[in-house]
Amino acid sequence: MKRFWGWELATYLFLGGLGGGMLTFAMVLDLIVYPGAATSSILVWGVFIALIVLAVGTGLLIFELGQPKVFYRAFVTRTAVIKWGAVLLSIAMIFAVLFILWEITWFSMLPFIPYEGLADFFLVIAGIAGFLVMVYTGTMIASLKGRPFWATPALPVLFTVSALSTGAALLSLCVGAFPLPMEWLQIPFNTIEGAELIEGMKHFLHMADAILIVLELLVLLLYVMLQFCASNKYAKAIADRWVRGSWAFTFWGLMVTCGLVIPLIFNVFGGMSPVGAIVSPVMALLGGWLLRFMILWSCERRLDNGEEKFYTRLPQKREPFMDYWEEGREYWTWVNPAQAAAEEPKTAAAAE
Amino acid sequence: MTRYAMVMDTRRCIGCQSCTIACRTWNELPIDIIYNPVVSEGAEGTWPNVHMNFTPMICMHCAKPACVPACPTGASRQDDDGIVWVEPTQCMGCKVCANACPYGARDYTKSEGFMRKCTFCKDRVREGEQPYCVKTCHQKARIFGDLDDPNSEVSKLVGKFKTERIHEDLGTEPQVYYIRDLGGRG
Amino acid sequence: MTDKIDFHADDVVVRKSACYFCHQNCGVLAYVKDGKLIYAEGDPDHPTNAGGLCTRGNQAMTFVDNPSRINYPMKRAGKKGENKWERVSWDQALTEIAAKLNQIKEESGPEAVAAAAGTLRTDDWARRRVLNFVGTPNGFHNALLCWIPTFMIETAISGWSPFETDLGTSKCVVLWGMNPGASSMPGAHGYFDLQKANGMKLIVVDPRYTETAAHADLWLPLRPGSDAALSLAMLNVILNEFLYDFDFVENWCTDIDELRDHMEPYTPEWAAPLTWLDPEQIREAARMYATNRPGNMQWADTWDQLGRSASAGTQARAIMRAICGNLDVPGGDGMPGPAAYVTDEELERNDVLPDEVKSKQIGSDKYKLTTFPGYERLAEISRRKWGKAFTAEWMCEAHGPSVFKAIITGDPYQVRALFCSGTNPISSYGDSKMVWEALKKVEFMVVLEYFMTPTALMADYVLPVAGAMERPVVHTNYGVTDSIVASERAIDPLYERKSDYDIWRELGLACGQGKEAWPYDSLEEELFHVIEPLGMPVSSYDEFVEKYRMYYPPVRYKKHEARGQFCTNTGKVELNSTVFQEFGYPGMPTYLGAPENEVDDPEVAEEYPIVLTTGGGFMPFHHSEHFNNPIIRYIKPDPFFTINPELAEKLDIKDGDWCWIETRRGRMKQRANVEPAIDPRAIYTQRGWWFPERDWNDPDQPFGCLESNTNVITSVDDEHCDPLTGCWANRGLMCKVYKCTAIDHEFTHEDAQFSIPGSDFATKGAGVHSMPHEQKMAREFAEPIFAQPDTEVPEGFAWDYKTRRIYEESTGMTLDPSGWLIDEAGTYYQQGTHFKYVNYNGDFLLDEANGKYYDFSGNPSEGPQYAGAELPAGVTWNPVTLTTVHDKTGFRYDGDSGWVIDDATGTYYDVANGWKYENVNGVDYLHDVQGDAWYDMQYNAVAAPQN
Repeated sequence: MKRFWGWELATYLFLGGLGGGMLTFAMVLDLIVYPGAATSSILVWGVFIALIVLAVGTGLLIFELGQPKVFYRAFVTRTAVIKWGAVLLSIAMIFAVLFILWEITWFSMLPFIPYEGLADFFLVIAGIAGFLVMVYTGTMIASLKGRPFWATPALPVLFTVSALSTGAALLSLCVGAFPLPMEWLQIPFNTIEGAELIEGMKHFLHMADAILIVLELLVLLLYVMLQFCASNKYAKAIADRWVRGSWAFTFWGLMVTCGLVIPLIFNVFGGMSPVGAIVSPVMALLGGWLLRFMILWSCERRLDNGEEKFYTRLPQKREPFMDYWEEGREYWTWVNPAQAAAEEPKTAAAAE
Repeated sequence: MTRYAMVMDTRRCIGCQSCTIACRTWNELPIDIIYNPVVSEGAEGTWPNVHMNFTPMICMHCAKPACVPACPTGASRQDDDGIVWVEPTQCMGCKVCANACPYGARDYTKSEGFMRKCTFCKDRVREGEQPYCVKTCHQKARIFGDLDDPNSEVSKLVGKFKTERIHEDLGTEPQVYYIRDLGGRG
Repeated sequence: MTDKIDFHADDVVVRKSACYFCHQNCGVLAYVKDGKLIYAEGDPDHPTNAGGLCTRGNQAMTFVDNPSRINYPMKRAGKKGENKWERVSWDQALTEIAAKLNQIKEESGPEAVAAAAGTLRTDDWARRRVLNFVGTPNGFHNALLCWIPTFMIETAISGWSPFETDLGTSKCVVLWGMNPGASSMPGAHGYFDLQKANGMKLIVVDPRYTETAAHADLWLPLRPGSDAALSLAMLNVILNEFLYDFDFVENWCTDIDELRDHMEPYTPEWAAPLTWLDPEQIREAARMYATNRPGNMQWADTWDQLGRSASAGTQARAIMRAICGNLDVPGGDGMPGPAAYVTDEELERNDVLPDEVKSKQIGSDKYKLTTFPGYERLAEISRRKWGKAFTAEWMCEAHGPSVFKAIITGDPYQVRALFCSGTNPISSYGDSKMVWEALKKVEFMVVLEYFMTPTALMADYVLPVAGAMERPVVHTNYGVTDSIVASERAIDPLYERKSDYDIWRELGLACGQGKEAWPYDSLEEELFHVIEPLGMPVSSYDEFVEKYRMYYPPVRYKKHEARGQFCTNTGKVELNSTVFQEFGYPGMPTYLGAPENEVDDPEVAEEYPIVLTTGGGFMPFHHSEHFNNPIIRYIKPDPFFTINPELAEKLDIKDGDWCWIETRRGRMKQRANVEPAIDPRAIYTQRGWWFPERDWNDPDQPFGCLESNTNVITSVDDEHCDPLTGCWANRGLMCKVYKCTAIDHEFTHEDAQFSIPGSDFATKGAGVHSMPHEQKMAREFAEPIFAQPDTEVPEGFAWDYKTRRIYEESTGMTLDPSGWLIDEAGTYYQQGTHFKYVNYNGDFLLDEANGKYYDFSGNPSEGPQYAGAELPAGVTWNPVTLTTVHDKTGFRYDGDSGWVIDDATGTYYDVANGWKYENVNGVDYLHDVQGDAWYDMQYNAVAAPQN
């Protein structure tokens, strides 16, 4: 069975969710948890990384397109889910850029003094758009009703939870970091007050992540088990592969244990130790990435009787005989070696 | 109004895949793209009490296609006569439609970069000819025509026989009707 | 495609061309612009396909301009297998080939030249003509696996093969080993429609569950290769239950009672364990066929691919057709007979092949019916009774496998040159490893081909042949039917390709065959000569195609009633064939088991427990063709064999696994298609597989030509071939199947080795273990009725196996046991002197050279005297011609009437004056023509009578 989307799309879905999650948490921290002037600048680096993540994701998406030249057409229709994704991504990125610009000092060099309060506004827009991007990554996949493993309302939930969890994890790594000169920031945060804020934010994010991981575990297991017990035989077959088939180790060992349970334990018991602060978020991130791969690779279509037999007997990789077609003359070039030798003198003579 | 549709008389289909190959030739498809496979589980049952059925597949040109609304660029479209097709110059190759289609009717190859699908041979059909797979079928297992015309062969067949459509429960209202020989051997 | 080319434009010409990727020759409309083919589609007006085209037919375009086509004559530049080639001109190629042929002919005799050809892919009569003029009888096709044994057996029994089955009003159709769903597709839906419309019964005999079996009223899934047992048992039922057509048998058949006695042992109970069927199933089939009349049986390849059991089964089926009254009746088995146009047989020029080389035809000493002895016997009957005979090409050919063995062993003599036209014998003949050795070994090989095949790699010259669109195609069922469907050339051959007619013709001319052999300059001219006798108002072949395209003579049923006889030796349907008996073969069907089977060879079955059947066609390939077409190959990239899930489970084989399939001859590998479409005791393998994308420098199997080739494991050993017709065994062999493992998945050098006989490979290893002439036959021939007499053939005389007589070589006259010579008119001559024996008024000997008479003691004699009354004056006795001559007129004097008679005109003259007798207005006159005077009968002058 042909799989149309590969690692680029899986990574894009992951990065889209991740960036969206980061923006969402940045918004929540900035506006609700720690409303105050210094918060924004502590989050600048996180927002910047989120921007990079989204940009890389979008880049992968465009890179993966068959005709990237025509990408602009993604904005001309009204209803397609993927179109809304493009719009939301654009909004999130644009406003993230604006937020960052507002927060750094160069900005004060401008001939006019922009209203500083706008930064929070920009982050709200970026955060909301980021949240919607998270939801959209799941919704887009779940709207493809020909694919039984995808087409459930639980998938957007799963993707959103996972995106939030990974977003919290990566944001916790970025909070308080600013590898550039601190003077560039309008409000430098290398103060005692700033350090406390950073500590608080990290703690918040760890706790949020722990809760989200528990949630994600629940949603994921529910999701897979529901599919496993489903009456739809195609979804069931895929879930079977996850639960006890060829993917059982990847699922239980890598994704559930390494990607969720261990980070959860570190989060809860590791506290602010290097293990808790760095290893656990990285593992959670890798787990989230793996989830997108596993979901995207479970793309089997609902098949009519015999379709599977037909497709599994087609060439599964690029066989040598197929290349006669692609290269060369009108249909295919397997230039008969004997004839090539025979034609050579003629071509040489013509060249002279 | 015209509403093009196809009837597959699977009682006549012998699984020779002439339509498959003919289509590949007529439409000059890339090597790894197939619009209309003829699929079969082969013999089913326990020897010697077995039966065999062939299902010629094709784009169902659904009345409510899943692929067209999924397209972000508007390259996928449906005409008034029901034909669903892709304008290659407008397609950006995101492949979401191929994932949206429950029938595997859309296919893509990297070297071309745009989505391909069966067009019911719209160039032929609009000149009054049959789609190429229908023309080439020497068993007359594929029957094509206007479902809105009560005198067309497809209308008569759909009216006369109990037909079924693939994945009807998905609500796409496919416009390819299958006449099955449910009795198997005998 | 429509976007790019407007094929309805004014300057586009539509040509009525044909597909020739199989035997159906479906009509194709070719759209040609400026001499270039721009589009081809099924011809809606063609009777066969009505606009449809199959997978293969749709490849017309890609075939014409396929970059891997051979476009120029090529000559091998290095050693065999080095794959170095140089392009040469046609002139050079043909001159050199002709020189080499003439040299071989000079040194080793013309029979050292052999020629293989592909299936109906060439103008076979042109090839035969070249071979006939060269003087070799060793042309062959894969004919013995395809219809020819059936044709010859049925022709011997009922006078012509009743192959033109008439479905329209048929009440019962038997598809025996035939799967029109995969082989002759355009016709397949007809069966199913008739079942619905007419209540026609459809009986399918096939060990596999197929597309066709799916629609059957009665399906007999027999043991592969046990067809003979089934047909003998069905015949037994029809005879014992008296289900046959009494009138027809009474009037038109011989020996029904002998047949019933002979068939007594072949009961359904006898056949049940051999066929794996229930006796009641066999009875039901026999009853269904015999009681639903008219019925017909469609011929299928199976009949001719059973090896040694083939002819008995075919004989029984031929008899069933006849005694159920289905021969040549509406809805039955129609016998077309020879055509009104010039037949292939007439084009072949078999008259120029000398008699003495005919007996050197390889295989004619073993398989007599399909070689010269049988052919000449049956063709002679046919010519005598129908006026024309069937083709020698196909029907009278060397035994292919024996030719390959002769190349390797030099037994019966060394074959030095081989032509292969449109054939890849490695894929298509049995025991491929042996064939491959022969191709490597043959001294001189010329290949006429479209693509570089493994066979072509071994050639000295490879000549490019024009394909279907580039040449006219004529469909006449191997030249033995009475209708013709013609198609024209769409475009001239591209590059330097030539139609095979042109190649053969030019080769013939280069060999020194003159205008006598090749009176026409082009194929179209020759084909116009073919259709001229039809009297159509056309002036060229192309005009015939454009205006009529086909010719079907009016259908006449029951031709035997109009003619008063069948075209057989005795004029009746020979239930006990006299021709078979002449060759020392049982005249009635006599059972021989499948070549390898669990009943006759239990020790083989112990090692190789699974029954193997192969040779069936499968879409979208045709024989070994199209494997190099990626469009087609993409659908079927790998070879698959079919195995029942039950057996697969026992052998731990899963769907898609690569498996070895091994017989006593060796092994090859295919992938498992686990499907309950076949009996758990048998498997079915696909044939024809080679891999054009693989390395062509592989010394063991270039292009992977042996690895998955099912013919590596089939048998052409003499004891497995049918003793009458020589067909070898593709079906009903014994094999074993096991999975390819990590260490045992390569087809190795050892696997590619051959042995003669092939079946000794497993026990004795590679090599020649016994010479072909030492090998046993499945059934030794009884002493032929017309065996060569023990008496020694005197000096200057020779034995003619064909007419079974001793003849004098200088004169061709037969030596009578009495010691006299007899010429064709039945006149006796004295041995030695060649004086003619004259019995007139005593015994005399006449020396025809000078008209002198002798008596028996050798003394000169006056010769015979006039025996009648005294001769009148003016009349002389001529003792040489034994006539009385009227001196004046020179006409014969008739002693009985007393008149002089001009025998040429029937005019009477009077003896005395030589006046002519005339009767005017009821009055008798004598007319002096010279003097223009008239007399009455009393010699009185009278006035000239007025009319």
